[in-house]
Amino acid sequence: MKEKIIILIIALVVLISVVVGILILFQAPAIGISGKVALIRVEGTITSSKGIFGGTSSEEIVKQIKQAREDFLIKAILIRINSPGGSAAASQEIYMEIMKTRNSGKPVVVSMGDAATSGGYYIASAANRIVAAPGTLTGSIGVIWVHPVLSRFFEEWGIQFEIVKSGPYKDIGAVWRNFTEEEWQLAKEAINDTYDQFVEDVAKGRNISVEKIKQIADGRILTGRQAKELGLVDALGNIEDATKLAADLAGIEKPVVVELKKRTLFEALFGTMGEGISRGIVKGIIQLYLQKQIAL
Amino acid sequence: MGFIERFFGVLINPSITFKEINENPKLLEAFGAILIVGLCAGVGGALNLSLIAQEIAHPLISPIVLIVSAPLGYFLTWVVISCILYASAKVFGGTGAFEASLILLSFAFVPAIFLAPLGVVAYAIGAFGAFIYTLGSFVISIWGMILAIFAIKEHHKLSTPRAVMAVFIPVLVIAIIIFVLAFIAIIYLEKFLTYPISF
Repeated sequence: MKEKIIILIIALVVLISVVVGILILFQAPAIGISGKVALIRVEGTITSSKGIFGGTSSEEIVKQIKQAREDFLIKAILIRINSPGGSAAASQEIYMEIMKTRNSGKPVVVSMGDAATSGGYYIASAANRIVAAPGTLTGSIGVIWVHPVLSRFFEEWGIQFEIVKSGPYKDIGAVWRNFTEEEWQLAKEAINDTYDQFVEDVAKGRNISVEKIKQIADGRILTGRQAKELGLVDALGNIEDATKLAADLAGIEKPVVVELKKRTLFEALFGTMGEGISRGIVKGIIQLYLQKQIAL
Repeated sequence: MGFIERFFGVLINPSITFKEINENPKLLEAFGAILIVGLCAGVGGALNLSLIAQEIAHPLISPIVLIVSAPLGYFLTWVVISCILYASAKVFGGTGAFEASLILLSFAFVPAIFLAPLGVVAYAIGAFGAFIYTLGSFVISIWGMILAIFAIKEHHKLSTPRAVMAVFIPVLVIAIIIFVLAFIAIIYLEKFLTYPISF
């Protein structure tokens, strides 16, 4: 009789735990079926590959956006931009990936930090919505080619260059001489073409006419508030407001923000040591596994 | 003795219960035991993950996947461990059959049902709960090992020291292999992580 009572108690405790556990799991924010918002950061100069001085690599951002788009648990993407711009091609790569995501139906919201100018704004314009602080520096829609000329420096140091080239323009942009009239014209044409691409993409992303964009696309810097008045930004607010907007667009009540980024082995294993040895180590192992997938 | 009495009996009175199971082993009951254990362990494991996975989003750690994959994992573990312990018991002079060993050893996994309440408690505690869960899991593993000793001793008609050796030595070897493989895996993964993508 005593044994039967013990068995009954154990069975009840286990059964109730399983039921309660399942109920918790399906509402638990971290791994439950409630929606997640992926946070992707674009910081510093945007280039195709990451440089030794930091910045953002379009290769990695494109991978992260793709991963977030294909993960059915991620319901929306929040891109935090704090960048003065960068290479046109790298910005376009990210722009295209955001557009793909937007067209797939998964909302993308951009939150602007200190600055999202030039290439930074190029990227932002692809998002469904843009949120900026009133004092954020943005705009600067335009293209620039800086050509340093060091001919006098080389003269003073007695350095000469022997040039053998297959065509007249093969050394266009060389630092040892100025542009010729024709070269300047060619460079201007390339700049204008890139500018047209920039303006057309911004117009497409923001659903504003090319003519209207061109009126302000003279390289001018705008504050977040000015940008909102001109329709380049949708709302004024901080990253929390942007998160809420992303959640609203995705129909999530209580969003969980998950940051898609890589950590070093040390950070992954010991970064959360304060939260408990077990937590830190297990978390690290899981992150290592998942990060490997991003890296490959 | 019905299935319920056998299932919980190994927790309360393992010696008598394993003797009874050994007299009339039922494969279907073994499958049932592993299924229940796997479900409980799946719920407990998923709750524990919810404590540590705040920054991770991946389809592989969705609750449905975790709860379904846990019984499958337990089935696989049960078969593999049974094969190893059967071979080990034979080395130490055991006389039992494989199928009966398999059935008896399935009941050695029963303490893992406590992973479900442990998971709920850990979740209620919060961040430190993950540590409690890991500690509890270790205790449950030891408990399972002791039950495996009962099972091997009963079915293979071994003395207690021989049954202990038959279970302990392969478990120790497996633990060392897992430790070495985990170490190699971390070093291997580190190569991928040295590519600078941190922001």
